[in-house]
Amino acid sequence: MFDIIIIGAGIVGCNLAYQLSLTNLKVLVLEKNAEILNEVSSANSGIIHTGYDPKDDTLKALLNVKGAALTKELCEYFQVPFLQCGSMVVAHDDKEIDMLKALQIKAAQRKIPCELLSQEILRQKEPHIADSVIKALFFPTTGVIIPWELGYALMDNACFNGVTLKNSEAVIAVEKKSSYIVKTPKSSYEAKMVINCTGLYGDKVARLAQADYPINLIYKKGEYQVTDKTDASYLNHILFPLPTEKGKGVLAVKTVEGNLLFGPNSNIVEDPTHQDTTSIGLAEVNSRIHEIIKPLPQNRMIRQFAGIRPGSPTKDFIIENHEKWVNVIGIDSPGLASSPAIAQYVIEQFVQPEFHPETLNRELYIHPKPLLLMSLDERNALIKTNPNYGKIVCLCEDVSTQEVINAIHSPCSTRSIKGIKRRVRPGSGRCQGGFCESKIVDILSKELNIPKQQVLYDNDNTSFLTPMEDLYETK
Amino acid sequence: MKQNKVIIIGGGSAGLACAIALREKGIQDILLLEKENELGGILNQCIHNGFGLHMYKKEYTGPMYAQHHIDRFMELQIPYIIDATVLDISEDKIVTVSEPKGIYSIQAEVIVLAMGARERTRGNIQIPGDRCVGVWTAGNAQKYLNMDGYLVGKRIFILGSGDIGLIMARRLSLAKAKVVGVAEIMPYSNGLTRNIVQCLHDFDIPLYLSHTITQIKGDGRVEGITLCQVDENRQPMFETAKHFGVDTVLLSVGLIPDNVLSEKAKVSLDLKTKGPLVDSELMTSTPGIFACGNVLHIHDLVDHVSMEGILVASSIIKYFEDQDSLDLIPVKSKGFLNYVLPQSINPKSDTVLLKYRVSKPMTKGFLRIICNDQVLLKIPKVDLHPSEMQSFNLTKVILDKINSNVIVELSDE
Amino acid sequence: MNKQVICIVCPKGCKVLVSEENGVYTTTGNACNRGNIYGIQEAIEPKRMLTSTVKINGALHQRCPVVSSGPIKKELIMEALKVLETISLSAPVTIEQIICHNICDSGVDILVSRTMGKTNDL
Repeated sequence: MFDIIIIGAGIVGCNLAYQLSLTNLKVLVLEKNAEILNEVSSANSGIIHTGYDPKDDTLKALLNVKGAALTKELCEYFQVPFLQCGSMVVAHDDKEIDMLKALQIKAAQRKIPCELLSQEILRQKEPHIADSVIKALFFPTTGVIIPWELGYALMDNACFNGVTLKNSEAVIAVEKKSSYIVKTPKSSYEAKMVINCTGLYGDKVARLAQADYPINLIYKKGEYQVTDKTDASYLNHILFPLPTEKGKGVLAVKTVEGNLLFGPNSNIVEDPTHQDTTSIGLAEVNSRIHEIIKPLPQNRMIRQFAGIRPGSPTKDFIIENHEKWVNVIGIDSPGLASSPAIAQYVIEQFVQPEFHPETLNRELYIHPKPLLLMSLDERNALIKTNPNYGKIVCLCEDVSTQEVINAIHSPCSTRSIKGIKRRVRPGSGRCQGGFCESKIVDILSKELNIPKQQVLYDNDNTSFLTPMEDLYETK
Repeated sequence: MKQNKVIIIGGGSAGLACAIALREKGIQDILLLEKENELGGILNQCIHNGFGLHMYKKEYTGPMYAQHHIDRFMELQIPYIIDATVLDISEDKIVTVSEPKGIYSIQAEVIVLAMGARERTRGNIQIPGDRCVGVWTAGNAQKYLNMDGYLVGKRIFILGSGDIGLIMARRLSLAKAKVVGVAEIMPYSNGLTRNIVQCLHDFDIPLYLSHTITQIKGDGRVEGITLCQVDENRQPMFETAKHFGVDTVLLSVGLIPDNVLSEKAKVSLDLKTKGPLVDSELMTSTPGIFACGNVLHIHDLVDHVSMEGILVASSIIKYFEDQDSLDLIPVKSKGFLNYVLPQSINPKSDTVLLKYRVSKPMTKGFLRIICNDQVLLKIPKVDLHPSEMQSFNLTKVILDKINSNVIVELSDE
Repeated sequence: MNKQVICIVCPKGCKVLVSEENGVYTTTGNACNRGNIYGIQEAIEPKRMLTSTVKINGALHQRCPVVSSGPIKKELIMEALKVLETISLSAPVTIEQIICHNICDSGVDILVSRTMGKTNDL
């Protein structure tokens, strides 16, 4: 019997697991994918919004401002990168300047630092901003994180502190007795309380416990372009158009790693499982990005991806408790920035009154720092302890063999190529795995002690190799 | 800091040939750095034959061609390190390398860039659709099959009709995979006739010219693709869409010289070749840094890669003898040419091997060497194809007449 | 008998028509004599070089590339590949070492096409 089952290991689930792991409660996390952070949490802009955008008196407004501050603290604590690069919302005409001024007032009310920049200053700060931009509102505290870097640090620590994580276990049925029985195809688990933070599937999972659950999520797909890191110096800040009803618009952001990310567009879709890019969508991103930034001298796109965001009909986060079944629903933008505050809110509102848990002193599991961010001396010290730190497996992203091995054996373990790519980056660079993928297969096969034909690319149905000896009928 | 007279980055065909030639010319202090766990480079996975016709008048397989160079390299006892990845090159020729023994910097007098190329990816050409497993570059699939002994899929569509794509179509067919088709965005194939015949016709694999993949579909694994004909501007005509059920898409859509390190060394690059700008000594914009092989421009024959390595070795000898820099004479291309290499002539060169690629297939054409509005040479050419690198040797007699900007022009009359 | 063959001797790719009358073969469409020789051979008995890999133990890789000593009849290729899959080598092997004599009675041997040393850590 568990005290709490968390369904879904997206960024909200990871924050919840971590915060609950600091208590004496017995916690289980069920994740349907082979890897945590596999859907909404991995396909977004990685921006820690300051909180100027959400409407007054919404959960979004409350939790975004709080969550942004908490995210920064968490990143410092876990020693994962938080790049406070600042953001600019840009205006192209007088009408948009008026909107910037309104935004400025709202930001001031929420004590978010900001400053209106003149043409001259904004061009000094951002030389490649589009010619049509005439003014910008500058938010110096906006930052960017690697969403899965923080997510894995949270879950590694949660597991290190004793939380149980079960990957590849989708919840298919729920039974309510005095407690909840949560069933997956592999097993069933009992808990006093369940927290449903299943992102795109939040409404459907809610209906497993409450058949007439009335809310239907609205799915918005956003498509992105990723450039080669060579273009890193082209952009200094996050650039936003003015927000509209559809969202924050096609923006430009430099990732912590140094790639430029352009997007997202925003289109309502029916099917949350179909995260595909389209030629129309990519064309839209390619053209709208030039409303804020000048075209790059060379087309050096290395990847396109799409993310789907689960929006609620109220346009606000929905966080509610019904007979110890907690729904955390409609966590679209600014969900990433709000996530630590969402977890805190759930615990304060629903967990504490029910369990009155004890807070425990937990040791920190230090998430290994990427070699890329170390000095040569630091790297040499590591190589002395283990030569695999000197053996580079991914040239594009400067990743050593040992970092891959460490990720595989971390407290919340990683067992797919995609998981390795998220955790330690091989395959996310300009060769997109062309040079390193087969080496990652070798390492996974060796470390997990499985034949190569069982190595997963992503989820459980994604092994992809057939040995030559099985091809010819020789036996 | 450690020091070496010559550091060669890359132990593939270019690097090996350069190292061997340097040692044969008496240079002792050489260090070759190879990022993989063995020498030979990409040839090790190109197990088919057809290599070495120009250099050796023989048809070696890729590994055989490499082995001959490796054996000679070992015989000469040239120092090298495997599993050694160069992380950085500074403008003043300090090379930072990471290997199992440590991470350290070496001051070089001369650096040879011989890092080869990487393959263009799905992201580079922006094929929309699902992010499912089953899309690989042809070279990656080749590595899985020929080095590790694993096949990546059973029903395969190949995009791109360059030689790597064609060779893989045959190799996969022999490995009992069904190659459903090969598509080429251009109206002509970029592969050799012999590969069209022996790799496609032999296995009844259709070639779709002027076609491209416009969508990849699949949940978890690739399930199918949409193929569209393209118009004369290479834009897909969506009304021509055809669907194919396949589990794998292989991309053979070109190679890009791998110049990440060159950029770190602040070496100027050519937007057309995507390799360093070089003079006729194959020296880059940074004195003492040379380039050869696929890092300089994409080759179709390994023989030419080796010859470039050898040429760099000669240039290095000259560089050690005399480091005075002379004014370079720019070389520009005109007409139906994609590029001309080198981009400038060093007056020190006794002869200059011009290399170029045409921008469209031509049954006949005329190559003109022009200086000061005067045509110094007019050479008739037949059967020109963009996939075949052409070359022409400028002799001393011609070079003596060149004193300012040279234009290399290809026209049809 | 008439057979259309695309010549592969040079990049030109002549379309060669091979005709047979009373056991005498003639070609048209070829630009040179090499096309004549190739065309007739291709029409009578097409042959191909065979390259593949075989299993190897104790080497850096799990497969060792191999090549036929000469062209082999096209129709024997799949059978030959089956035979190759029954072979398992042990490192070390040396370039051009014969691993299969007269494969499928083709008169052609199979050689390894590179040297592979023994690795200690396997």
